[in-house]
Amino acid sequence: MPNHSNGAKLKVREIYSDVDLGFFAHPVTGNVSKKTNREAVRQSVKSLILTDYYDRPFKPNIGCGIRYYLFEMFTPAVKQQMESAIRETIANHEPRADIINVLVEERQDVHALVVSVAFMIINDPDPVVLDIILERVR
Amino acid sequence: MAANTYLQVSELDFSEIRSNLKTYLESQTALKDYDFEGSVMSTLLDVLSYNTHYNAYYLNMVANEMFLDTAQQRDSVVSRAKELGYTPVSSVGATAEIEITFSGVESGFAQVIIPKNSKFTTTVDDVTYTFVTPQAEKVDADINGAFKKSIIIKEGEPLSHSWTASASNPVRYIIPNSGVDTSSITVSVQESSSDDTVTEFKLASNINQVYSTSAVYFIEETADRKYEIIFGSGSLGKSIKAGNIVTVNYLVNNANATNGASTFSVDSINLNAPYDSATITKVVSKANGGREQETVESIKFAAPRNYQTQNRAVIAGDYERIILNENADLQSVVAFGGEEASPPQNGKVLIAAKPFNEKFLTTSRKASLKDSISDRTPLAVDPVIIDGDYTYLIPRITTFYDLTKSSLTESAVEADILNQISEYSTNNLQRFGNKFRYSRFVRTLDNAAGGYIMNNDAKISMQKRITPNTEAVTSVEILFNNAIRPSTVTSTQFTYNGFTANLDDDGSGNLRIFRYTDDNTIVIIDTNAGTIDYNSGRLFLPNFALTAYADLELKITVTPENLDVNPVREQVLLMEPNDAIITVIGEQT
Repeated sequence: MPNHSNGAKLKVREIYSDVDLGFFAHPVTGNVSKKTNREAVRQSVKSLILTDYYDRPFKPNIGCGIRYYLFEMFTPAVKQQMESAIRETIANHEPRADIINVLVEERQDVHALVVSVAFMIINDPDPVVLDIILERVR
Repeated sequence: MAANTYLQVSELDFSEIRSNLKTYLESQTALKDYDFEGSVMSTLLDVLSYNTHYNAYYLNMVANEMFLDTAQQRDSVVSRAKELGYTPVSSVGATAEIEITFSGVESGFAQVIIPKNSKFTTTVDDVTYTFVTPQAEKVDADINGAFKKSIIIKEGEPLSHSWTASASNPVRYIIPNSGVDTSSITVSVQESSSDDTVTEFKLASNINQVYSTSAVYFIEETADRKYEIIFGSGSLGKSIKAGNIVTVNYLVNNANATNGASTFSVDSINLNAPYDSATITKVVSKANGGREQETVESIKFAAPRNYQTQNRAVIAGDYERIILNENADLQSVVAFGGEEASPPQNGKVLIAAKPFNEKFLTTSRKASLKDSISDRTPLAVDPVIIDGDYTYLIPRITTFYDLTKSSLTESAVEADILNQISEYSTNNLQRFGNKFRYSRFVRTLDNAAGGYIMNNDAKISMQKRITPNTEAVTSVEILFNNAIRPSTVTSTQFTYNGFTANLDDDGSGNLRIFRYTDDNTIVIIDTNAGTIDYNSGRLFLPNFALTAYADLELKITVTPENLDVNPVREQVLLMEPNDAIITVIGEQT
């Protein structure tokens, strides 16, 4: 928590607050730990990108469908489609994030794709960069 | 703790449950991201809402299955019906009556016995089906020494299943086949593997007559459309002891697959006497009456009504329901007190039954129907099974259709009119109590030919078909039970006093017999052959002395005074397309 020059602690205002997806227990209180503000939005964007259509009950249209592309030949066209899908998903379902850039790159050495999403959070001057590594599990 | 007014629990749908949870979360500030679809909170809300919705749906379905009105699963409906003392009707194989003749029976036998389950076969659509004798039949030699008899055969494959009762591991006597005809079940119990004393158990049809020593069984439908044999507890019916061997014999049938079969052949008959051959010399009545297991809808309808009557035949409706329910071969049944009959028959209940695709029941079928109902009638009431009284309606139709709109030919329009007549007859007539309603009939005709009929001029006659005695003078009474227009009686030809004659009426209540001369002049032979009551529709010929008649039946036709025709009691109205006289006229409009 940041300190003022006079030594008083500055309490950061929680605009956004969410449960930590890992459901870790807070080391002191024992409560489920939280994600707040930038981290909460970052977690939300990551969740949306990794959600497939029909994953959520009664909400078939929420998701990005990015996993389907992992079984395609990685051509420039597929790369473009993946980037578009990610942009569209975030634009549709995450109003707090304003996309700056989406980049999908292949990492042949580890047989993976790296998705980099740069976005601004509304009312926050600093951009957020989120890197997600997509791998085939088998 | 004060009630939380933010938590609404009255909704059942997913979206409403989720909305209520969000409303609840609005009352706190610790976690605020429940509104954003990507948040973990949102995912948690989805899971919680789905779980709640799932449970609500499940409980709703469970509650539905608890009541006869709303249950959907057959097992639930059957279970609810069981509480009302109702056992759904099983599928039944078709029944036929054949005349069988044995030739070359060894001399010295005055009677031979056709064993139960003697096999016959028939083929329908290239599939061979088995028919069997449901019980042993005795055949006596006739005066010429021939062994010939009409017997009933029933479709089904005879099967058997046995269980050994055990005290440590109680047995459920569930017949393992589907398609079991419960009326064919016989149950026998052998004391043990070392004691071959066998007791035949009978179906307990009347619980009031079941005692601790009664060798009876009960039957219930159980899961998967199978049937379970239940034995008594020792106080209500004889119980089964450990070591008893229970054997159940039954027929597994193909429901209505063989209805209409009319060709049978002998498969195997182990007669008690040596013989050369067995031949089916006549099919007395073709196979009919096969039907599927009772449907869920039918169980829902019948079970409460069965409970109302307590399986007793007291009022007319009871007889009709019980007989129709238990006899798949019957299309329609009507019952009425003998005091309503003409002439009255006090102390009797008259039951008229019409089989599917037939008009009359055989004598043996009438006897079996009477037996089946006798133990459920009040004391001093004698049920009598009678035939239906058939009145044919003869339509004469002139149809005008629009040539400018329809490209149909006159013969095509006529064919469609005939179809409409057939359909009208099937749906609106052919059953006891079904009235002929003129306006509905004409409306049906107006809908023929794709709606291009402009109008129909339909005239209806009533016709009776009788087979009078040609060997002796008899009295003939014909009841139309509807008012008759005077001077409209006609008949087909018959031979009277050596003349080819016809019947008509003089318009004053007298029936006359007349003939035509060679130049078509009418000559009255008998001016007072009988009487006609135009109001009641009764024709009476006290001394009808005809010696022959054309065709198989003598047809007497009249014109009803009213457009509608109302049948009474055992009267059934029939309208057959073959009788219709149709004129089709195309008009340019």
